[in-house]
Amino acid sequence: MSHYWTSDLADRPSFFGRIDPRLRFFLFLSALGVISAAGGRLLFGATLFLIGVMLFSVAASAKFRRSVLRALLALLPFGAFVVFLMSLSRETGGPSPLLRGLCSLILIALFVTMMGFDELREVLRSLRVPSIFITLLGFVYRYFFLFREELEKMDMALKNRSFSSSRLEGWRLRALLIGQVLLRSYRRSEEVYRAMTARGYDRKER
Amino acid sequence: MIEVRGLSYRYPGGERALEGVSFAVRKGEAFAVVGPNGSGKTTLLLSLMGLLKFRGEIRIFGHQLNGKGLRELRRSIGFVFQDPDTQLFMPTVGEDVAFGPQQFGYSGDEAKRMVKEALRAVRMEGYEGRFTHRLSYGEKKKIALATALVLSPEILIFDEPTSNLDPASRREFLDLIGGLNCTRIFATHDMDMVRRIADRVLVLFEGRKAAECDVESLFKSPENLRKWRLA
Ligand SMILES: Nc1ncnc2c1ncn2[C@@H]1O[C@H](COP(=O)(O)OP(=O)(O)O)[C@@H](O)[C@H]1O
Ligand SMILES: [Mg+2]
Repeated sequence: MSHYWTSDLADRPSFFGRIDPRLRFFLFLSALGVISAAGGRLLFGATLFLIGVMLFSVAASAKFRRSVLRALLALLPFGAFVVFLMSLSRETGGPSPLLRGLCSLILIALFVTMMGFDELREVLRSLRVPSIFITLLGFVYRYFFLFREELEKMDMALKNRSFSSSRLEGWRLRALLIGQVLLRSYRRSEEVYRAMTARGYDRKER
Repeated sequence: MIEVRGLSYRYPGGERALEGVSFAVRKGEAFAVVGPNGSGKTTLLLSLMGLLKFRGEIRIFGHQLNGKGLRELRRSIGFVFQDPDTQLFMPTVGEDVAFGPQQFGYSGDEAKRMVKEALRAVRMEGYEGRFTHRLSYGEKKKIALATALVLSPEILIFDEPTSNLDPASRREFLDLIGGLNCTRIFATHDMDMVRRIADRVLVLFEGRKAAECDVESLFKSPENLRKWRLA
């Protein structure tokens, strides 16, 4: 695979940009490990530390402030969902599921602002991760935006046409909508497969 | 150059999309496949690329289009899909245009050079590092053309090349297509485009061939155009 990284580095703060991307990746992984294994005091410490890192970097650069906040906002619903799931599980030990959720949230927000998609792939490649995974990651990245766009479009169409104000009805329609979007995605995947075949793809990694 | 005889296709679980279509395309010409929505244009183009299991016979450069040698044949045919979001499946423009060359075993440096060349041909120099999802529709369309041009095909196939383009992008895109000198086949109901760049036309109506003629004779009979829902 040829590499073309130049763009999309615009809102990466230079402070983290100077650290080797591989090191950044390892830091992320080990922090993730600590968070998922630690309990009690260590977890509490890790949370404080992460919040510290975050405050420090936010204070250090205005650009970073904007991008990390954007990432946090985008992740928040997901984070709430995870915390909700964890609260359903048997683990009862005071605040640790919550802390864990908060930690992972901050960590991921830091990670996506510190590490461009292009850098991430570069790192995975240099770690000899099989190229099929990296290609798949590329597809996910490429079509994530399309998927979101499709969802937004359908939501808009729904809002334009629904007159009933019942909330239950709204949710029922939304469920149908998600089914529609999945169907469309399936159709899209067939078309993409055709497009790949037309350009010489024959299920062999090259 | 391309001969099609008795081409039929039925989508699984669907009705017939093509029924006994025969025609021929000559070397170097701009050949338009016209017809209203649902008349089978896309199905016909996909068959020419060997992407559907059709009934009938298709010969390209004298070779029968079937399992053997299909991949080699595809190398000399470029396909520009109607929806550029289907065609462009890699995260960046450079990787996307390089996909074809990589599949056919060109080295990284060679592929890079070919990509550069193809991007120049569609007047999009320097777009290698751009993320695909950030491009405008018109830009995506041009990059899609570049992905088809990169292997210097002898035949280029376009599905509705001008649909959804604003007037300026449409003109640019038509100029690009008109300026190429390989054999071009395009499906469209943009009759102004047909008038401007097509040499000959195949009219499809409800999956059957309604006419195969040169452009002048097509426009000579307005009542036929209306009957085929083209005017
Ligand atoms: N994936 C599909 N599955 C089932 N039927 C299809 C599919 N794609 C197209 N068709 C049907 O085949 C016919 C021809 O479609 P198509 O070739 O896309 O026409 P055109 O490109 O001229 O608009 C239409 O009746 C359409 O509904
Ligand atoms: Mg079509």
